Amino acid sequence: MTSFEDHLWSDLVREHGEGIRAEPRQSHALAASVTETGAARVRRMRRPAILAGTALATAGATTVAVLALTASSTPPAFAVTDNNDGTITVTLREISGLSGLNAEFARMGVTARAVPMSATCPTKGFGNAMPAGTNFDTYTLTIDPRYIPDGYTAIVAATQTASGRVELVQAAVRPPAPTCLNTEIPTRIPLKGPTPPAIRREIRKIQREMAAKRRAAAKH
Amino acid sequence: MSASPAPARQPDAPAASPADDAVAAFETVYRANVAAITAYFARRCREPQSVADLTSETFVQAIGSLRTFDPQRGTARTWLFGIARRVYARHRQQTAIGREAVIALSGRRALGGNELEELAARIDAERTAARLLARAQRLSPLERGALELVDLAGLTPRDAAAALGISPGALRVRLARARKRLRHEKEPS
Repeated sequence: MTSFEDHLWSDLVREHGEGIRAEPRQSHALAASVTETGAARVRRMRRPAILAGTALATAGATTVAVLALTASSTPPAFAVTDNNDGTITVTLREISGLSGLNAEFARMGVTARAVPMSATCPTKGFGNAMPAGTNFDTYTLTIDPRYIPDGYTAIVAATQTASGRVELVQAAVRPPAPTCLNTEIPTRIPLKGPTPPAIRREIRKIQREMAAKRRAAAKH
Repeated sequence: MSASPAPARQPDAPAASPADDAVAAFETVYRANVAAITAYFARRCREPQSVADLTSETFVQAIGSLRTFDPQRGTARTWLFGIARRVYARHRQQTAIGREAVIALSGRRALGGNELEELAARIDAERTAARLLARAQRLSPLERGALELVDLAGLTPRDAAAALGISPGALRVRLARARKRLRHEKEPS
């Protein structure tokens, strides 16, 4: 943040803070739209009312919704959390939770699909794919609709290592969504179509980070 | 035009009231967009002070017209760019009729040395983009708007369409036409 921007902000709060305070609802709606754009708006508006009535919607951003909860005391294989800011956090502890995850996406009206990664899958990367929010370290990732252009489907590809650790990779593709993804993810994915330049830059940055992580992982 | 200065709340007022939350929420919006809005004016003005005034005016008007934001119609950025366009149009009108642009901005103040430098750097940074826009003078205002908002400001085509008040389909047509024309036009030597 530059000093011009900081000074302007303090001026605005000092001179016009009352104007902001008088419209808390509008200010929050604006802030929500900072993270929620295009595709997310569409999803939000299509989201069935079933979400609104549950404790899930009111539980706040920090609560993990345990949707696959069974009578057992072991942690559920998967969970989907609506962060109430347009983003959705996906947790997958067991690869067997994939189908349940897809059922949950469908129930929530989220345009996303979870697929397994395998060495034999014919789909090697996606045309028009956008790896985003990739997280090699945990079994949780957040789908941020800013990186999913209109008309695209978010893909969560999952693989389980020999040690049992689940790894997730995120992408966005034009339908039809693939049913699996080859474990060999190209680090240079050809970008075509009307992807906005800002998103392209973001993707390239993520691709570089992914490549670096893969190199680091290969060393160990 | 701009809201009259309201008495600012005492800094020692109880924190975390819903109203203060509102300020925090608006700050998110401000931080996420101020650079893009500043760049928008830096592509149009050569004077750091003008860039500062117009950016400032955009946010002052945004606060004054918070009620007009409709999440169904676009994002915060779309809405702010809509305001920025109007602010700039008015600025142009005023300079065109031979008057010094009078910006009714209570927050207007002289810029410090650092800020002047920063904004001058911003204007420099936008010079290539400004040249591109200058070359685009022959395009229609909507074509130019589409080109700038999508290719320079990084809005999604959908959001750019909302900011310009046209349908996404119409925007794509104009964007394609603008890009094609620019490709065919020779770079001025």
